[in-house]
Amino acid sequence: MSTVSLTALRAALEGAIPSEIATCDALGVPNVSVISDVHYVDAEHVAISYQFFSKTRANILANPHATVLLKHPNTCAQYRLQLTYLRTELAGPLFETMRAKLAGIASHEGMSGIFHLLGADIYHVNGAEIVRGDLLPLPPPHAPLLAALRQTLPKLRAARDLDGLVAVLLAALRSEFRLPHVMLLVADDSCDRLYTVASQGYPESGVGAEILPGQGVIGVAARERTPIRITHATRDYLYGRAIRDALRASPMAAQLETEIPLPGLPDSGSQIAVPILDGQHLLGIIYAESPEAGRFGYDEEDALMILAAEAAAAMRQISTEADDTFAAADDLATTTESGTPMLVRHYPADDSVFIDDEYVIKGVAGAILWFLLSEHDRTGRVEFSNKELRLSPKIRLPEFSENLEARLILLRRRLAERSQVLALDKAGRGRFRLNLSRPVQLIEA
Amino acid sequence: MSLDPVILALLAGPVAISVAGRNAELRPSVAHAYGCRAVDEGARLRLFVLREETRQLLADITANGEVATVYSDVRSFRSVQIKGHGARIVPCDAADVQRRAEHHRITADELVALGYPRALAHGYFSVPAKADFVTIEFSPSDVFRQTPGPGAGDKIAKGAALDQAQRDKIDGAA
Repeated sequence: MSTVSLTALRAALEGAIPSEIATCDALGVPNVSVISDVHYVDAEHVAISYQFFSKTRANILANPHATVLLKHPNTCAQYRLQLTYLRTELAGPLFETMRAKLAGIASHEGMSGIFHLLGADIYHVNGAEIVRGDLLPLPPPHAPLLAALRQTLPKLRAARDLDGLVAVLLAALRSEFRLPHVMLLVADDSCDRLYTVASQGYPESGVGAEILPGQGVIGVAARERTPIRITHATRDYLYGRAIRDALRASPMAAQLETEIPLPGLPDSGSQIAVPILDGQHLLGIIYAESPEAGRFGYDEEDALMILAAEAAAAMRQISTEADDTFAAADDLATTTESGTPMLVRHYPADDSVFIDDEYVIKGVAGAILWFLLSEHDRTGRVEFSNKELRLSPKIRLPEFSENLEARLILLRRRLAERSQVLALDKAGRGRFRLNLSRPVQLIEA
Repeated sequence: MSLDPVILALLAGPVAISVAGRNAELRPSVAHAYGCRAVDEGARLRLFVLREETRQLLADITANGEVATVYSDVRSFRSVQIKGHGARIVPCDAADVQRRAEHHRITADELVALGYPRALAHGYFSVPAKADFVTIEFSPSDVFRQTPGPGAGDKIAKGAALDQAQRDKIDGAA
């Protein structure tokens, strides 16, 4: 029997087909158990879910040797791993990744609520062998991921501002990575929430929708700074109502966006969320889902993590370059406003803004919108710079420039969806223009 | 000991079967079995394995006779573990060959009924034309409940002709 690298047989570590683990007690009595999930950690380690105190667990605590039999879900190949138990992790990124995966497997096997992860048992892989080779051919990959990365990374590095970066990411995820249903979320500077800056593949964009760390696939990925992947979507990590209920129940509910629902596929089969990290600082989340079960494997997770790391580097670069345009505050260009005035109402308590009695946005983006309209009302100005927004005491802005830019992208997209008469357009680097087709009447509520 | 009719019925149905042994250093070995046949109401069990897939397992069983086997219903994941001492490696007989073909058919058909592609369902049980099968034969000494989850699988133990010692064993998770 030939040996093989563990990484090469990761498809058999998705939990699609149950595996068997053999152990032996101190008296020499062997035991064999069916297990739902052997999880790939790295080229020399796997983790096995510890769900309840079993004979297997008693055995490995007394005698750390174990042997696992794996089956490839597509080719009928079989592999055997020789393992030595090392330790158990009771919390943290690996634990959460496995917990999410297990929830998906349990749902797939009609056993939701039965599988509960108590710990992640970490094993050293002493050897991996092919018991029987491929009988059936591998299905072709959904997308050539290395090629997708090669095409995308130079474009990410070339992006000059966050808006451009978001556009590159969305286009690449759709055409190169073949992921038609995606969302990009940016973390608030204090990391106490994430807000959606862009999405594609949904009837409603959900731009502006917020989510709390710990909620669903996206929230757990954010809180743990780790990719979360569900191969068979499960109620345990569903969005929609539960997410909004959590937002509304939060002590910060007044400051949270509870009116704009997060988009999502009604019959989601697979979901993946990967963190965009600058060190351990969370910048945002790339989220993708598919109606197809088992759509995202280890390879997709790897590719999206590389993409996210490059996106983080590009965001960092943009934020250091962002402020080199000085505000020119003397631009008095006017727009051609005509017709009945549009009624814009502002509630200072939460900075929510309503246009003609329809809710638009609140929070920082609401404060920005109100500031722009107030300035326009007072001086007639229509051109503004990022810098003056950042310096304005009227807008309680975070110091990170990527966050200001992200809020502006969100606001621009939200206005484009919600208003025919009010738009924010880019006017050069670090500058933008307020376009009004009707006069505005401002009401401070 | 003979096996409870409930357990014999499970073994005769569409089950995935694995066999484990261990060597002198207490390192376990494990392999897939291509079916099993209960003799004398389960007083003896015969499991069919491919020699080329089980060299370490066969060496271990030959050396010490310790064996653990698990049978998992592909429809319900209802599972039972049966252990024994003094296991032996013996040639396959005609009844083994017949039973192996039957096991392949009912288990693969059940997987197809569950939605697995036909090629995949049959692939897991298909073997080379000149497959070198041997039989592992042993007398069951212990039976354990094995269905996933701490509280599941009670039906295997309930209302059956199990003696109290076996019931106690089944209630202790394997």
